[in-house]
Amino acid sequence: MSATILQPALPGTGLLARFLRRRMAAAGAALVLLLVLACLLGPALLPFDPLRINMRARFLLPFSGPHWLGTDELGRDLLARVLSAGRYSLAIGCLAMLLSLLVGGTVGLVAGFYQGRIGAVLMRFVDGMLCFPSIFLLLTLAALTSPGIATTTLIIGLTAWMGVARLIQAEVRALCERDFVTAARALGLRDSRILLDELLPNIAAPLCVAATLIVARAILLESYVSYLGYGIQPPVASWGNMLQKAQQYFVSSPWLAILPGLMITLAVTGFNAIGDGLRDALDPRGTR
Amino acid sequence: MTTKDTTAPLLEIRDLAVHFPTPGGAVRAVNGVSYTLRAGETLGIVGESGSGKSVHVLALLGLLAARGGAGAIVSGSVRFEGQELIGRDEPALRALRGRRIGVVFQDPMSSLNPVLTVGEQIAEALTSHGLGRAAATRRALELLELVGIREPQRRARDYPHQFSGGMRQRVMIAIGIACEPKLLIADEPTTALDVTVQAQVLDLMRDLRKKLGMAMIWITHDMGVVAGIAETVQVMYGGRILERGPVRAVFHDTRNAYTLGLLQSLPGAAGAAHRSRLTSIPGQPPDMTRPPPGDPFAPRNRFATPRCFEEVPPLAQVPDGAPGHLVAAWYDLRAALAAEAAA
Amino acid sequence: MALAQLMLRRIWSRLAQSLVLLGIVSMVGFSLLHLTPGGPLSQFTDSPGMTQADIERIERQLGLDQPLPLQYLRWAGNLVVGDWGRSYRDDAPVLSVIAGRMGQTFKLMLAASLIAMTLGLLLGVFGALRQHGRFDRGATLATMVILSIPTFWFGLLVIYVFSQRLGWIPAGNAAPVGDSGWLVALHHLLGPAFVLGLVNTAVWSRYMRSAVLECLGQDYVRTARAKGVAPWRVVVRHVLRNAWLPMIALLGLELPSLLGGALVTETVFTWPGMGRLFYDSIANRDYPVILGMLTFSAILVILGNLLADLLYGLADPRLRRR
Repeated sequence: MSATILQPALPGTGLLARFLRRRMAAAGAALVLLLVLACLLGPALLPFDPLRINMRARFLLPFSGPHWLGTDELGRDLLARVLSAGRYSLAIGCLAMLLSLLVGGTVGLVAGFYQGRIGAVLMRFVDGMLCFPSIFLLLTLAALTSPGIATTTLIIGLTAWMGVARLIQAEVRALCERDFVTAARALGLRDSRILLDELLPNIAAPLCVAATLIVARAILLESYVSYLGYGIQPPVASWGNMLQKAQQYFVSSPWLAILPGLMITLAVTGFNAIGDGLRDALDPRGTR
Repeated sequence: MTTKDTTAPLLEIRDLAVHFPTPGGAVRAVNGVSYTLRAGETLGIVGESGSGKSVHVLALLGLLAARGGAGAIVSGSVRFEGQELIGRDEPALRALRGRRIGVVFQDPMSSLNPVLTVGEQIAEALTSHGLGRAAATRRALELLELVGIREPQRRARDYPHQFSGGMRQRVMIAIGIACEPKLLIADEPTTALDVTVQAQVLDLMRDLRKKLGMAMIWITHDMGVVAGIAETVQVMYGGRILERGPVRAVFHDTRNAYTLGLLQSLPGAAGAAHRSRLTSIPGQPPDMTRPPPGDPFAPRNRFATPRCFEEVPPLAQVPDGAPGHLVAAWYDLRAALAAEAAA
Repeated sequence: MALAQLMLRRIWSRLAQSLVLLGIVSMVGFSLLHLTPGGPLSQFTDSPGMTQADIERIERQLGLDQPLPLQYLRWAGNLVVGDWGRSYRDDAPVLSVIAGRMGQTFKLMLAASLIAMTLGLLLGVFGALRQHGRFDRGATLATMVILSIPTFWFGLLVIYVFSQRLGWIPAGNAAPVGDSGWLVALHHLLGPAFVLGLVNTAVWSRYMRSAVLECLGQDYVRTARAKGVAPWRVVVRHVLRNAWLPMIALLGLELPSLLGGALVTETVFTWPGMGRLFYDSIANRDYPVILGMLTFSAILVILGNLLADLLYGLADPRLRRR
């Protein structure tokens, strides 16, 4: 890593170096990597099953016995629960991100490329959707569908794509004015070829920034929906629904609520830091 | 034109250098510039973008920080009216800026604040140096009239976007001369204007110079403009002065290949004497993170000698030239041209 | 004269755009509720005592047996004349139910905005003036972390520390109506306003910072310095005067997330505003109120955008040309 930092930043090639030179961005990437590894490997390495109830070992304090971070109201190991909950929270965040990129990216590409009536109609629809506070939309959908992992992912993805669509549409519109697209059109290339081969690679960078920031938002939204009881259902643990139960015991056992919230904050901070760092690294004026 | 050197110079610059540290290495924008300016003298500084012509005046005014160059390293000495400017603190420089040294910047659209009226912006130059509000507003109207804007009473309440390009530049000039400075620095003030408006602004500046008796540094990339306004011309390239002297001498007894290139690329009568057809200088300006070790212009110079690539030529009096005609070159341009003509 | 005319035309065109948007929004909201699996009848179908005949009767009564476009037109028509339907829960008109809660939400948002704008402005400006300085780095990190904290969890922590442990603030709810005066009301407002205000501070300070950075690099700032204008005056008169213009437009853009933040804060602090109403009606599947709230919040956002747009036109001299 230090070798890359010392190299002079050549235009174009120095993206990774510029990204890593931002301490915050590098720290965010490390944090996310650490969390993902811990959630993937942790539950298998720990001697406790996150679902095993032990009524004789309820509300054990952290750092005071075999349970490193204590136990919850049913005597389940908190560390094991927090790590296995992380699997769901992180996976839902990433899947919802992919879904919103797919929907938003498609709408944006099409609206930017066909700027006539199709584009206008699509973008008015996007504008309309953006008028609803996304939490209002999300809660409405969550309350009207049967809760579960799949529906939670789906509704988060379907309420987060509008920003992507706007971004991509603007990028594509700008690209369409450039010569290489005109040339591709003059050569008689099929629209789908131009869209996928010429335009998509050129919007990859802003797409990456949007992707990381959406993961961060999706994790936050999942936690809120699950906290209200409309998301991931027990006994499966997610960071959000762990907080729902923990709230009842807040006065007597605050650590039950502090730990999952801390995990959410760490994960979201990590993704946000990556997104900010990427954006700054991509911004040609941002070279400090 | 007085040639007496008995009075102390108004501005005296010695070995001025400006470097910008960047992740890709220091950008050596200005590399040891020295010259003097007498009171009332008009100096034209000519060069391409990146020659250091604008950066060195921003440096001496302490204005580099505004361009995100908080880390600019400025060294050397600049004495204005006998006082050293390099290393002076901000309040001292601020008292000088606008009052003793006025500045007129290039693009009058972006250089004027879009949300303040023109009158407010002129008056601010005066209130910043102690004039009362009412008096400053009155003086702003006089200044607008002085720079040739009709109905100043009404126009003072307009915003910059309501003026034409030429009129905006007149407003910029009004700001620059508001406190009747001893020195006016004009950084490409006519570049953004079309030719007829350019001529009007030049006329205005000549007129104002006479009325106010101020010295002027006129920065431009256009040799033609220099011929019309300056007494002394100074050609800069790669952060160095390549040639300097009275306008007549530099134009008619050119000693540096870069100056010759600038003159040859000049359209119209002024350039005709130097060429058979309109030419431009081949090649690219140097990368200032890795400037060439010798004469910065050597890589683009067909007269360059091996020594030009290794050693920086000093700026020295042309032996048989007019007094004050200085050149930095290892080659003898006159001899080289004669040889070329013979061949 | 011409100025007034131009302004009028601008207002009209914005109004027309807003109306189009309103049409789209109402259609989206309406279909959202009718096309989801549960649908508007779920409240009745879920209750055990209902027979098929009962449900069909209710369906006919509510007009839910008619084709969807027809239902939409009837609903939209009623919407325009102010008949937003009746709440299933307490049979009160939806519009008056919402109107009854509006004041509390505005009170909360106003208090939070006061905190956010003041703090956000200070953080953003001082950060930008010393870009990459110690203060700037600290503020940037802090705002990023605040934006990453789940608002509801942050609220829970604030309640735990300041209410349960320290007893500085009451646990929730606005002060009982007509009771002990504004001081008590303010006391109740402290917690939620602090939480929402801090979250919004992070948003504003980021925008403010980049707006100020943008303006600092402008040529007119260099001109001002070349005139010898004092540093603080350069910041206030030249940088801020220009930097706050984009903030007006951003206020419009950020309105949905500001409302969303208010909803979250209200649920945690059981603050009896619109957010709490929305949350309760979702828990009760009170379909007319849900739809009413969705529509109402979108109308608020559209109106806010319209207002921001017109304000921008007034504030920027380039847009009010003669």
